Amino acid sequence: MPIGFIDGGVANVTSMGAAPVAIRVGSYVVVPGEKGPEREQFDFEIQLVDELYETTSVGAGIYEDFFEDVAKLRDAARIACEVGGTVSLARRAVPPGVILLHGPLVNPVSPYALGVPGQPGAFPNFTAETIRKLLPGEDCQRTGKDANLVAVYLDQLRFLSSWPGTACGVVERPSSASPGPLISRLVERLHAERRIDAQTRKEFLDKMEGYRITDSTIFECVLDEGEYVEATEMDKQGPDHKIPVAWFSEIKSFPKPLTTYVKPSVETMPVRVESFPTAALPYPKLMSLTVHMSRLLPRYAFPVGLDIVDKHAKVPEWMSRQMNAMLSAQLMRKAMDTGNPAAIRMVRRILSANTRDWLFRPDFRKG
Amino acid sequence: MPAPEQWPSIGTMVGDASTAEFTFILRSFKSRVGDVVAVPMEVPNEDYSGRANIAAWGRITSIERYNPFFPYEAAQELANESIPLVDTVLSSSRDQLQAKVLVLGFTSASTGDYLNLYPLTYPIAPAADVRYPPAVAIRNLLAGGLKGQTSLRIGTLIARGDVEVDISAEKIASRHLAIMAMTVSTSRTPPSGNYTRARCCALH
Repeated sequence: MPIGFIDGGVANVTSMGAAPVAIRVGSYVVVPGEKGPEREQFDFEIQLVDELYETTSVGAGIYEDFFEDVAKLRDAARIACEVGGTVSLARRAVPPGVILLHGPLVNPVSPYALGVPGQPGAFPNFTAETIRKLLPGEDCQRTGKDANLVAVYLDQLRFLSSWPGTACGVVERPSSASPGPLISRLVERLHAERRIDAQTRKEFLDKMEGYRITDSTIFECVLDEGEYVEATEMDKQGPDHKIPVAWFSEIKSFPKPLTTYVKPSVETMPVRVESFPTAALPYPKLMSLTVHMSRLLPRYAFPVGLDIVDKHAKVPEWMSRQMNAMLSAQLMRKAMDTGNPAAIRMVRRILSANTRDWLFRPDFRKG
Repeated sequence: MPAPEQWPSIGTMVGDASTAEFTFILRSFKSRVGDVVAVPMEVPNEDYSGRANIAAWGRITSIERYNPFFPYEAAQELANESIPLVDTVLSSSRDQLQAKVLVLGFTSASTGDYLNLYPLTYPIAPAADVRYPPAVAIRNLLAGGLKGQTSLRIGTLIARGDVEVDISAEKIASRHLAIMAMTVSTSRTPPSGNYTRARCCALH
């Protein structure tokens, strides 16, 4: 059975007065046990190299409009791209039976569901060109709320949750939330099933919070090599009061992934695995696959296919440096074209990193 | 013969280049150690008023092969558990080949019959395309100056069976006759007729 791996890479590009972005989603499909050139396939499912937001009216850019928090725009684009890459791989004529995504399968969208498109200050919609890349195989033209991240991301996840194969997300870095969402959910369930009383529940959660015990920490203590926690359906979209009213119905309808922690090696922290309840591969087999793929990286203990696709998708530093050099040259040329000495002086100062930074504060030598 | 820019590209130069050697990433199964390669490039012309197109020539002296997608940790695990790589999700197809080239010199980029080789005096451009010259170009480089002379086939290049190597029979004969003449003039006794006949037979 072909196994697919997906990961995204973002270039470190910065420029004054603009927000260029370069994201690519790489895929690696391998058929274990097969020999010959058909065994492995490396590809790029999505490549977005553009201005983050449209500054002219020619339809360029990833978003239709400007938004104050550029980091949020970048994050949202990366999230939608990675899941879009998974959709693209699943839509292939001969798709892999299992797709592993490096990162969470479902992300919270409430932080990006800000206002209604068209209203001032609202989180902008994707441009038509971006939507074509994010939703491969969809022909209809999206406008209004349908072109916003929430709607696009929801449709991507709906497709994956009804896909006949198995899509899952693997996260190796521990989350900082304490108490962790999974342990909180398990404690709540134990309480609802009357297996622990309210006092024990409160005491447990208070201690988890007081000592900042995360999901990774607690399951690291509980699990032995090759063991995993029974998968639990998790609502990743947070409590209802945090969901913006304008997007409430859409956000409440997001698929709820099954979440678990599995410990591939006795020496390392467990990894989080998220999948959909409708996945074709039985859960114990998915866990066994994750454990065995992780054992090929005994020290890092993480599915080795994701390590391979991570290296494939990563935008190398030399490429980012080249892009930055080109943007700097363009900026300098534009400043020189204006003929304004103040503009030229300012750009020169920015490019030579001679701005007023704490690094450049004068030092006071003793003696 | 096509111009050097049209010869098949077999790789891209990486790292710093000098006038003596350079390194390039080689496409899989497109060349081997000992092959003669060429890099079309521009150099300043004689009076520095413009640029001249040349082909820099070099010989591959070593090739390193590695797979950046194959972690060391995994190799240890495969060895310990005696698992064949094909039965895992590990990748074995993304080998990278890094070849080192010794610069031989440069010739004009024109595709005439005779390519005169000069020492390279301007470094090769970074990220330049490294090209695989056709057999006729290498023949012209190695034996292009034999026009009008009797060529003597001495074999083919080790790395390129399609490149026949000839030397000038006239030059060989004149050199050996000169040696013989010197031997005769300095010797007290004349050389035996057998020696003279043997040398002449060897040359013709």
